[in-house]
Amino acid sequence: MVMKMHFTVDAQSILTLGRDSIKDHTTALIELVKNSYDADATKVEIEVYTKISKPFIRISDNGSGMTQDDIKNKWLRIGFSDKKENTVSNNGRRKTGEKGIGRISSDRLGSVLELRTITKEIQVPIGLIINWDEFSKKGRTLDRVPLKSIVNPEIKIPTTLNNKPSTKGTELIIYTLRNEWKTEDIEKLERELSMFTSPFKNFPDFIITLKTDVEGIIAEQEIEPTDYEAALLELKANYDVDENLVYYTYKELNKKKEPKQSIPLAQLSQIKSVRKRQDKFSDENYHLACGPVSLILRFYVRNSEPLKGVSINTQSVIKLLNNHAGVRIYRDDIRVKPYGDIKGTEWDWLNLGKRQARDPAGAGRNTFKITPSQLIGAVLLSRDSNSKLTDSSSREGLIESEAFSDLKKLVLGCVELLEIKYHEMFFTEKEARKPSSVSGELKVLNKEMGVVLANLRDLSPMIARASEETVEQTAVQLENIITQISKAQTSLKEVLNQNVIYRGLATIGIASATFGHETEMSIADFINSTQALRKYLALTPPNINEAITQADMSKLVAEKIATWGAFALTRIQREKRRRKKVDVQTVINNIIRELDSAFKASEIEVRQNLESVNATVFQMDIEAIVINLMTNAYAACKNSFRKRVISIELNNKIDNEIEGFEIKVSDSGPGVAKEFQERIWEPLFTTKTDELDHKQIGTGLGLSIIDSIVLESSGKRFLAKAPILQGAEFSIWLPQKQRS
Amino acid sequence: MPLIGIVDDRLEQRDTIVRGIVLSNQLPQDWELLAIAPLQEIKDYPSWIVENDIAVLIVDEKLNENAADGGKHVRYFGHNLINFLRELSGIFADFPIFVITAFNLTAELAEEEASVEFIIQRAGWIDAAEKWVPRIVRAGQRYFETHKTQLAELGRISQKVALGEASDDEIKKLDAIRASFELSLIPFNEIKTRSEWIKKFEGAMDDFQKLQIEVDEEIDKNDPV
Repeated sequence: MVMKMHFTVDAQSILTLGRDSIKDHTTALIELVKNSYDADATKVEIEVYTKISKPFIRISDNGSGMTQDDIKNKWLRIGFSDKKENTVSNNGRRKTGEKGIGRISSDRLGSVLELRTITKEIQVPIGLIINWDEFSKKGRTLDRVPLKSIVNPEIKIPTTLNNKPSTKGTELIIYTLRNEWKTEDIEKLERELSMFTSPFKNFPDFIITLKTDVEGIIAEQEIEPTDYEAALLELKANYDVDENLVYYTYKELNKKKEPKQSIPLAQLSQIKSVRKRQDKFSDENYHLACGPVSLILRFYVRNSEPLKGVSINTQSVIKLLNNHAGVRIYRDDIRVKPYGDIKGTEWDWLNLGKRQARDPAGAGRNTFKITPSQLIGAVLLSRDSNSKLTDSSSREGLIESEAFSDLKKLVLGCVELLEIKYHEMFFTEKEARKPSSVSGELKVLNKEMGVVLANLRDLSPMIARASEETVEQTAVQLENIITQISKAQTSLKEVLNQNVIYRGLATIGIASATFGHETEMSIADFINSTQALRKYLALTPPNINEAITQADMSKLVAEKIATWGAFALTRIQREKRRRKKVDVQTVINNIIRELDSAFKASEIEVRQNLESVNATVFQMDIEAIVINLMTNAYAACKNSFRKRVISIELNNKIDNEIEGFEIKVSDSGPGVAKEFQERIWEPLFTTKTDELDHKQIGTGLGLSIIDSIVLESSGKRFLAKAPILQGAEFSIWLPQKQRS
Repeated sequence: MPLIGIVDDRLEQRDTIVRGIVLSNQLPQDWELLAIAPLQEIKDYPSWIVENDIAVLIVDEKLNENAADGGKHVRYFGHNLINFLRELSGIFADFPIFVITAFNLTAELAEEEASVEFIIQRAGWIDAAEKWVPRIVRAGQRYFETHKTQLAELGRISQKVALGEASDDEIKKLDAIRASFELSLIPFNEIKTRSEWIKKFEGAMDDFQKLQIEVDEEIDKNDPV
């Protein structure tokens, strides 16, 4: 006997496609919004009500709606998807999803679904109730689970874009919710909905509104796509699979877009490699399996420097990055989760963080790497052109195939293009930002204003009589501005003179912080020796020898304290604040002598080699330079295993035909790491730690004081590795005759 | 005979502390003083304390201004030493420590304040010693009484081991006492010779090198770039 056999489907299998296969309730809701998009809806209303006696989620759209036949033969047919054959909607939207299971995602949201729908052609709404929990009962096949019709259903659908009543649409209401919805869930939903469509394209005909009572009051808002402006640098790239070339352009903030460039794929894959790698990407004939791709990458910085002159502020940028940083994938303009999901496991699917952690070089190095929190990007695909990038069965993500791996490779190559460009920008800006003295800048401004004034006067005879008055007024205004600038220059001179004193005072402060403990020690020694002296004299019989020893000790220590007092008090003497001829050798000798006891107490040998140098300078500035360098050398020596030595040299030196002199201080400390060698001159930046490298103890002012002296004096400063002592070697060159 | 141990990197400061104690006339006759520069390695202190019958310690905070006896500056402060001894527990859990310093309380020293008996200001020590010495002696006495017998035995046998005269039974007894004092953290008998130490060190270096190669290979494998 021949048996007629066929597959049956257990009702529970629907759960695998529904609640078991969707990661979270937000994803489930997004699936339903996708269906509305595919149905050519122009408006989607989402409501999440949890504080009422019968909580519900409602998704209603003004899409094409469904007929009885559509429901029976398409919607209720698991695995059937109209989208496989009709890939484009009536209004030209490339439909998302082809597996025919998106509608089951409502099971993830709640156990009861009420579906109401109406079409333009048949203006009679139809309705259906599905209880998904019925499918979990054992022993039933899928076709044996009863579904109930809604008799004369009332349907509420959004209006059209013109706010006229719509004649078609679908309304889903889900009850007996499976999850609690909290504020953070709503925030996440808002964020996901704002990224539902590509942020780099306008979608005026797809509006989503969200209404919720989760916070106790009813809040309604239209979901707005995020404004991703104020990126410091943007890269747009397009991979042409036939030519195997990547076309790209850059756009810097506040500048015009640069001309388009191209790079062969084989070169892109090696662009930052030190050694040429031999892999499939280096083969010129290899074309990426993912197919053609477009992408937009926007790079941001979290400090305010590049944002000067732009309306957005740092706080906004930080907020933007905290909520939207990530590189997301869009297929036919609809987001493919979970790539770039904030707080998701696939947020950094390109492993930018790991890559940066392995080599955290700053923008000043050519190996600079962007962190994932600095980037907002979109990778734009199409289902038809990128057919090898297929959906995984988990409803989220793409199958990690060779095509996907190639896609990642391409995106990373473009990230490297961005890094190279930013590295170049960094250097250009650094050169532009090299500090010129304020007085120098004012001089330039004054000169330029004078040129403008002269030009105006030259133009005046050529301009019609009617405008002459205007020109004359403008010229008068300019003259006033020039007068103001001259006054500012005078004030500035006074400020600069005061700067000399402030630098001197700051130097005393820094030296006190560094050497102050020696004074404390000396004071303690003085007290103890005088106490001991008294005790020895109070003995019966008095111990005169010991008393004398203690008296000698007291005297010695008192001299040390006096020296330190003199050191502090003589730093800002009046004559040091005037520019005059100074015996630099004597000045340095005096400082060495004054600090001698402090260095000796820490067993630091001070070597000196001082030529005779006379220069017209502020003595206070010379002292500030030497004291700050010696203070740094002192701390550095104590931070090293080597024998503690510092060396101070002074010699006459001509630089670029200008007579000058050089002060050089080297130490046997650990040196200054390459990545800090420019930054150490910045105010408040310090690498100085205590002797055990545990605590930062520097003020970050010493070297910036020296830097400002060098700048104002038109001098030069250098840092190198000390050839003999192996620590740092600081050299300061100043001209012998400094002009006011 | 119990000792007050004094650790300070500067000779003048050590002399001042000793002078203060002597001039105070408060030191019992059977007590002695042992003032040293800091030991090169922090881990050498437990043995030094035990072998010398140190009943109480006075330690400076800044120990690296002057070179230690080995000619090198040490790489720890007083508060590091205190923290190290307290972490050993055993007999060092209640070992009395006083800190003497010329400086204001640093955050690090303040963290250890509860672990020490007192933090004493160096200025005025000579006069103040009259008040402090009895406290220091009392603290040491309390400690010594608690651990006297075991410490004495520990010291006696340790000395014999150093001279190569200890019997097998005595070595076993020493290990037992050390275990009870949790001194087993400090390898004492395990590594007998320098060459044995070097061999162990080289073995450890080889293991590290192998691990480094494995890590590099793993990184290269997972490198998407």
